[in-house]
Amino acid sequence: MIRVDGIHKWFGALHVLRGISFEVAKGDVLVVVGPSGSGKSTLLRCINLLIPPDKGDVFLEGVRVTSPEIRPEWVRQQVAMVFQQFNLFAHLTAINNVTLGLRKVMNMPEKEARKKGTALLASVGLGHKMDAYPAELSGGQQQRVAIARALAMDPKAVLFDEPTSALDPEYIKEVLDVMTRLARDGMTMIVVTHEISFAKNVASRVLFMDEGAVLEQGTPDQVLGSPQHERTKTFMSKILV
Amino acid sequence: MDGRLRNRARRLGHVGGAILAHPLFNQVLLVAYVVAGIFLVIALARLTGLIGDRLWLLLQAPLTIGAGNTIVFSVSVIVVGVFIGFCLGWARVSRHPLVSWPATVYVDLMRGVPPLVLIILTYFLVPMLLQLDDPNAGLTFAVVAIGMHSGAYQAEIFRAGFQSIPRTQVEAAEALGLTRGQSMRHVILPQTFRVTLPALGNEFATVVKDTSLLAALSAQDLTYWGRNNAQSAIGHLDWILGIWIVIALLYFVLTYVITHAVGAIEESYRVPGLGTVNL
Repeated sequence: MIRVDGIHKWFGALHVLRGISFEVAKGDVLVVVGPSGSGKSTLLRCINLLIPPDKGDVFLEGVRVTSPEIRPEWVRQQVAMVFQQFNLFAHLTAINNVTLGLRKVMNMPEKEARKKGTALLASVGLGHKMDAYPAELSGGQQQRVAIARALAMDPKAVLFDEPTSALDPEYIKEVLDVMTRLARDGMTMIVVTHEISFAKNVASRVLFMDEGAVLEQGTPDQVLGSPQHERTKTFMSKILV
Repeated sequence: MDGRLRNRARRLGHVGGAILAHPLFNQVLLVAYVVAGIFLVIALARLTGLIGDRLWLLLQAPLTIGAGNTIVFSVSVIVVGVFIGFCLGWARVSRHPLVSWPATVYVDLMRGVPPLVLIILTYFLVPMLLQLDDPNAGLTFAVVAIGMHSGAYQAEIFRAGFQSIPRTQVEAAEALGLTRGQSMRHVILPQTFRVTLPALGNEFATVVKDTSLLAALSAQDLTYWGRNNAQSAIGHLDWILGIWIVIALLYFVLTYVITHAVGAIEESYRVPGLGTVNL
């Protein structure tokens, strides 16, 4: 469904992505792990073109989305994103955060959008917080609203950029539970995370990145259980599982 | 019949209740009390003879033409100032130096000139350059000049407002498929608006009093009529004081109404976690 083909990205002289290639099939969950600064977030942003890659291509269901004829807005409708810091719109209530894209991008009538938003918020367990503003919600609740917001556009895939890293420990599980259910329901997902147990339980494939390159990829058992590459071994031995 | 009446009464009660329960009601009520109180004091002073016939006559022009003109000048300056301030504030956060640089130069220049000097220059210079014969043209440009001066300060307010919205808000909007324009309209502007209101209210309060400088160009505002009528009351210190006290009260009323109107807007758009402390 998503194919990334040899993408490179430079920030000035800094070579952040050095020829990354991989493929994610429909319904697969790809978990990307690796140390900070290895280019994981940049990689995600290259897929939905929030950061245009300097070299290489991204294909979505066979369509080359890095082609200049493709509107980036269209790509982002198909491939939604969930951020580390939630990034909910601070001036909108939970329900309006979820429906903004429906109303403004898809031009859905207010009433219909509200109905869909209500159902989505209920599905992440926040039916009772529809009219709360982001500042009135806990981190876990904000992130669940953000997931509902991403799902509102009926995306073909969802990118998660360290969705639990900014959360207090007590809220991590509720977010991971929503993500796990989403994966079980067949959503195609690319997840950058340090939650190794989530990767072990949910991932179809795991990809280990360091210094802008893919060092290792395979099943969770291969990459997380018995890593081959020296750098992966060191990383795995240093983090808590 | 009875039922219908009762229904209507209940509906009216509903509307009345909603107005009373609205968070703005108290604020509007407070402003109304203060303004009514000030005019009541003036009326009482007149009735009790504290303001005599002669002084009352001297107060006519400030209370009517003077107050009217000051209101017109203030509103014009605020409209011009907000327009210029918003555009320049936006220009200042632009990534293109050709856009941001002139805005920066404008702000620096305007902030460096006293408004009085600026309006005197404008009053004489602009009609001359444009070769206009209309004797009122100079004054119109002077009003615009105060607006442009205030615009420089407001540009800084708007710039700070734009910069206070995290870049990640735009990223989230774009990740949803909103275009740049839509992100601006539905995400950045509504937040900037809430963040800048308190500072704007403060600037409006300053601008109301800056319009008194126009009296130096014989614009017939409150200050002009105060000075004019005080001159014809020479030798009667009580009259002179009476005139200036009333004028001070009128400036207070105007500033008070404007700042609290902004405060009311602020209140009605308040969102938890956005904006600043209630004054």
